[in-house]
Amino acid sequence: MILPKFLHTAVFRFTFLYTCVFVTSVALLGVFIFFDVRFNLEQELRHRIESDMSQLIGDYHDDGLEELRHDIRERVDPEKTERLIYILQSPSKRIMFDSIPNVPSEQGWHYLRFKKSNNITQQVLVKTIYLKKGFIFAVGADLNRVRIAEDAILRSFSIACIFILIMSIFGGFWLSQRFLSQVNRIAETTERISQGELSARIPITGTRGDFDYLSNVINKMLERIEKLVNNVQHVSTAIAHDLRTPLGHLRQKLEHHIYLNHSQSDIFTDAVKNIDSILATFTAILRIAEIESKAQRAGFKDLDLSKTLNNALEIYRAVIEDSGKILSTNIQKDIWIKGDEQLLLQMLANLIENILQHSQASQIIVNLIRSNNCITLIISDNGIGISEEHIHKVQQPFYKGDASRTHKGKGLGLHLVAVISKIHGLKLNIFNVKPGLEIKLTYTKNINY
Amino acid sequence: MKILLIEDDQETAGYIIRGLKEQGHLVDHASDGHNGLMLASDSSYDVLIIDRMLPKIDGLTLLNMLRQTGITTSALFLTAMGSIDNRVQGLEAGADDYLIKPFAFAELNARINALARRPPLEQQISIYTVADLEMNLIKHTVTRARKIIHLQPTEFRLLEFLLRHANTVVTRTMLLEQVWGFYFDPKSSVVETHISRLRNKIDRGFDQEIIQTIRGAGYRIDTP
Repeated sequence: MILPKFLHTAVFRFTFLYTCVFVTSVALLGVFIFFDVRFNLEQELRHRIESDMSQLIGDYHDDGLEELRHDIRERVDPEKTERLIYILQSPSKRIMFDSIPNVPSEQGWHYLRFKKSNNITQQVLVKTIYLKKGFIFAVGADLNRVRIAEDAILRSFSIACIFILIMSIFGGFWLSQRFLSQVNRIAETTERISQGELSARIPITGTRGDFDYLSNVINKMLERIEKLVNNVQHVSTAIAHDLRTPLGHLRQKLEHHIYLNHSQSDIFTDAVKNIDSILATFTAILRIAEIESKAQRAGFKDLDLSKTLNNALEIYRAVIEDSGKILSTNIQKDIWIKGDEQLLLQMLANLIENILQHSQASQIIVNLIRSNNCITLIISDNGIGISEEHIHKVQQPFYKGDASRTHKGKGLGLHLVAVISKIHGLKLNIFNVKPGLEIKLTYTKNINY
Repeated sequence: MKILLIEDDQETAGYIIRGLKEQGHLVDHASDGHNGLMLASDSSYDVLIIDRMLPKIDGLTLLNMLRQTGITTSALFLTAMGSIDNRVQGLEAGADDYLIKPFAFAELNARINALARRPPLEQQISIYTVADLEMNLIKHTVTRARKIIHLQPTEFRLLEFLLRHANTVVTRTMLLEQVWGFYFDPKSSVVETHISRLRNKIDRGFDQEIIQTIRGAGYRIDTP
């Protein structure tokens, strides 16, 4: 069975629980009061019956049956309200004074229930006692008063329960909203942090409650994490940056030497090439650090992804064809996203370069399609792919794949792709399709950034 | 050519000055922003080479001030600040080119020459001719010895750029940046491949090669 969506919300569950607990406790209180009142009222009636009867029996023992009759007659004055019930049954089963359909034959307490002439059910509590010569004497009390009290308790507690039900639904809803809004604040903040906004902090309400305490603890932890991350970024950037100047000087000297001596010596030209390669790595590290620290999507513009992709392919088509590979494309027109054109161009270039350098493929297929709210870019080849154990690691920096493979790269190409795609809200997936590799980038609109 | 170099790193400055003098240029040097601004205000220079991180006045502010006082001397930022945003800032401040340290001297030299020989912006050239090759930008046609040559859009842009910078060396990086908008160094031989395809179309079957390869520097088209 599919329940409506709101039934799954924490607010609903919280309110439901709150209401149940509240109503159950009030109902329990009602039950307790109900039985307590009934017991006490009945107890009081028993006392009345008991004392009246002992008085009458005392007179009977002193002065005989006539005196008892006389006493009872005085008591059954019709003008008296709330009087007790008196029954005297002769050995011939003739009932005198008040009448009840059948007088219990055993001595002691009895509950009797019968219909009166006006069709009203009457309940009475009687105590019977045997007198001499086969007479039976009984004194009783109408239980209707107890019933009326019981009904009153039941009625008022039912009404109270309805009110409490309504109040606790509202109260529970309000409380849970309050509670969950605090939880949501924490959730929102952590979400922002997981998207790279490390400076985000949970707002403190200032109520000094448990949530403020929790928020403070989390904020402190976040501060520490941010510091550590910044330190790591700063150190790696500083290394790359500071080493560039001396390397630049070294390069200048070597270049000057080559120029002065008109040197065609391979040692010096190779040394310059080596320095250039180190510098290229530094540049890549700095570029990645730059992109990662870029304010979230700041400076992004609406751009035609189809056009950018076509540009990249136009540049690379000649290289792809000259290396003996076949390029086939299926690119839908006018697919727009928010982004940085230079970064996207570099990302696409890196993806194609990756195939050119490492795949040994003979065919490259590029597809860009839009369906509903989803934009999908798939770049696939029929090359050697990446072994399953390494496929999850290729997005990490300096990861160079199988040790057995001869690798020219620095292991930064796909990492840069991962970084660029991430800040554009593109989801990057890499699959082995046997033969070859499929790189899939998906963009779903309405992602919160 | 008269060049002003504003650079605080003595070693780099020495290297550039030596190199430029060997190329036959006149070079003045300022080692901080203040002196640089004073010298540059003279406006008798053909090209300014400005570092961004300078003592006293930083390069960006310096160029901004120069441009505000109406000095339009071609300027090139030569800096270690190599991020995309840095480059955008530099060009917005009024620089004509942006070269990131460390650099190859040939690259700097080519870029200075390109800046100095750049025709004024208002001058619109619509037809280029080299030997018997003619490129018409309005009709979007290329002919050699009156025979029409069909070029791909990217080849057309490449040839146009080379012709616009005729008689100066155009480096691989300049082509990547200005023809294709690549501000990074691709591993594949993108430029070489396109140049070789272009050559195949315009030079094959003719004695005279239009596009010259300058070893260790780049490419050049010479016009008489």
